[in-house]
Amino acid sequence: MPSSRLVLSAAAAIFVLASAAPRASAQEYVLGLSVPLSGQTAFIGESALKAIRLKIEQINENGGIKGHKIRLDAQDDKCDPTTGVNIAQRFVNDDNVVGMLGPFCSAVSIAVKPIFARAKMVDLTIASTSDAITKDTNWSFQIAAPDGVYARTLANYAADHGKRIAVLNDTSAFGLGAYTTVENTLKERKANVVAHEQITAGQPDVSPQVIKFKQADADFVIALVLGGDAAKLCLTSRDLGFKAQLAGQTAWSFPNVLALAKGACDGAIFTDPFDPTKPEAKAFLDQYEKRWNERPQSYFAAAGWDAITLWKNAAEKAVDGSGKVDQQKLLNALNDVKDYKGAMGVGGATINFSATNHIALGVEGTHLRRISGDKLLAVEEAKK
Amino acid sequence: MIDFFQLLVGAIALGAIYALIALGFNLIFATSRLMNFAQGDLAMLGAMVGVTFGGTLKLPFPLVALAAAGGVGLLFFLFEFAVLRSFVRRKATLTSMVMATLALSLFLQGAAEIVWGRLEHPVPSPVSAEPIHLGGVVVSPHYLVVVGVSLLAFAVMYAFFRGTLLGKALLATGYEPESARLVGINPTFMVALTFFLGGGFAALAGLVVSPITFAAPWMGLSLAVKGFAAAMIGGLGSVAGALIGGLIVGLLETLGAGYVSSAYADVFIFLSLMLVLFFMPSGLLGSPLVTGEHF
Repeated sequence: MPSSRLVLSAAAAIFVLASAAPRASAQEYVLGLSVPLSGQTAFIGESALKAIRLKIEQINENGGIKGHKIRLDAQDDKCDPTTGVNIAQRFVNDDNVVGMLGPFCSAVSIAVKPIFARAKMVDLTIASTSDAITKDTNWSFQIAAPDGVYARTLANYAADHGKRIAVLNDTSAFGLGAYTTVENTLKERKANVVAHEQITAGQPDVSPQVIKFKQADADFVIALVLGGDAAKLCLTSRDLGFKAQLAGQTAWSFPNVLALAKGACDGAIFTDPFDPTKPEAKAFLDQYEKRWNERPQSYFAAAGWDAITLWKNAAEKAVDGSGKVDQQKLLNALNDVKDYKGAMGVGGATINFSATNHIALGVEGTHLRRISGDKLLAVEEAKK
Repeated sequence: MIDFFQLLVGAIALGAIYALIALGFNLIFATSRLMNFAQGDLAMLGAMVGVTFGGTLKLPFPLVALAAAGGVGLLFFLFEFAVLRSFVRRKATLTSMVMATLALSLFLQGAAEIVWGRLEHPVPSPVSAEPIHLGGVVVSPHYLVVVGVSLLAFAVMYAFFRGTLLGKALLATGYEPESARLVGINPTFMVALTFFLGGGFAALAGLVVSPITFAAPWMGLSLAVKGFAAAMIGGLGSVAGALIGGLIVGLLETLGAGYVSSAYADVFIFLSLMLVLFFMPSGLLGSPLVTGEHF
C-alpha cells in the first residue's frame, strides 16, 4: 500500500535524521577549562572566561577547526587543588575533550600537572605564576609570566630607580624563591641595598620591618609579599610616615588587596605582563568591549585570549586523519610557536616556545604599572 | 629612642592579644587539665563573626563583640557538653580528649574556608583609622581598643575570682577537685563554665586583633602557638601569668624583630620559653597545677 510505504519511508527518513544528529555533535570538539568562578578568587576567572567565550564564538562563526565546532566545558575549580584534580581527571577520561585550558592558580596547576603528563595531554595554564608550573613535565605551558621573571623585573627597575633599596620577603616558598632571584639580580647590577627583612606570611604586625627600613633611609622597597601582608605593608608605611616607593608582584593589583589596603597602596607599583595600550592588546580589548560592554584592566582576559588563540592555531595543525586532535602533534605545533605577538606582554615582546621552554613571557615581556585608586596606570619607562 | 617606643606600642598591643588567648588556655587547663588545641581557631571564628556581623551587616562593635564572645563561647561549651563528656563517660584518656580539640581545630579551619573563603577579609574597627601622634610615636587608635578590651577582660576575671563565690568555687575546683566536691561544688559545671569563658575570650581576642591583621581561616595557628607560649611562660593555669606571659611574648617578638633580625623573631620566643621551663618548670608565676603530679 502506498500509504504504508509513505509511513515507512517517513520513518526511515526520521531515523536517518535522528542518527545523523548525534554524528554531527560527535564531530564537535570539547575544550575543557578549569577556572575559578566562585568564591573569593572568582575575579581571576570571570574576564578570562569571557575572552575565551568570545574567541570560541569567532572560531565557530568561521567554520570551527577544520569543520569541527568548539564547545566550551568550563568547570569551576574555586582555585582549590582537590577540586582541580577531580576536574582534570574528568577531562582526561573524556574522549570528547580535545583541549585543556587553565587552571589559573599555581597550587591547582601544580596539582594537575602530573595528571596531564600521564595522560599525555597538552595543558595551557593561564594565570598561574609559580616557577614550578613547567618543570618536570613536557605537557604544561605557562601563559602568565612566572614569579622568577617578576622578581627580576622588579630588581632591574629598583636598580635603575632606587638609590637606597630595601628588600622584604615572606618566608613562604614564593617569598624565599623570589628573594634569591632579586638578591642575585641586585648583586649583578651592583645596586645599593641598605636593608633586608623577612616576615612570616600572615604576621600580625609589620611595623618592626617598616621602622628598620625607615632607619636605613630606604627610598625603594622591593616587597616579595602577597595579599594581606602587602596591604599591611602599605597601611603601616602610611601610618608611620615612611614614604619610599613600594613595589610588588602583580597580585598587589588584585581587588582583594586593594580592598584591604583602603587606598594605602595608592602609588605603589607592581610588575605586570600586560600593557593595554600596545596595538595587539588594544585590538583585543576593543573586541572584548564590543561584546561584553566592559574593558578589563588586569591581564587575566588577555591571558585567556592568548591561551585559546595559541591552542586554536596549534590544533589546526594537529587534526589527524580520523578527525581527532592528536595531542603529540598539538604539542609539537606549540613547541614550534615562534615570534607570536599576543595580547599579553609589553612592547615588542613575542612568545617563543620550544621543546625545552614552555614559558610564554620573559623579563622583556613584563613591565611595571602603578596603582591609582581603582585604576591601574602604566609607569612610562624604558626597559633595561 | 622614638623607634623603641614605636616598637613598644606594637609589642604591647600584640602582647595584649596573646595574653587574652593565654587566659582562655589557662582557665580551661585550670579546671580540666586539658590542653585546648582549638584555642587559635576559636579566635579565628571570633574574627569571622567580625567579618559577617561587623563588615557585612555593619552592626555596632559592642554588639559584634558580644555576639563573637557569646556565640563562640556557647559553641565551645556545646563541644565540651556533647563530645568531651561522652569521652569522659567512656573513660577515655586525657590525651584522646586533647586530640579531639585538635580535630575541632582542623574542622573549624575547613568549615571557615568553605563559608568565608581562603583569602583575608577586612574587619571594621570601632574607632577611626587616623593615627594619633604622641611625640614622634604613632599610635593607631585601634591599638588602644586592643589593649583596653584585653585589660577589661582581665579586670573582670580578677573581680570574678576575688569577689564572687562562683569565682572562688572555680579556683577551688582548679586546685583541689576532690575537696571542692566534698564542700558541694559541682566540678562538671565548673569545667563547662571555663569552656564557655575560654572560648569567649579566644573569640574576643580574634575579633579585636582582626582589624589589624585581617581575618583569614588560617590565622588561628600563629595565635594559638604564641598564646600557648605565653601561657607556659607565665605559668599554666594562672590568670596573672597569662597577662605577664602575653606581654613577654609580644615584647620578644617585636623587639627581637626590631633590634636583632626579623628572620629570628619567633626563635627568641621559643628559646625564652625553653629557658623559662628549664629553670622554672611551672612558669614564671609558679603555677601549682603543673608540678608534675601525674608523673
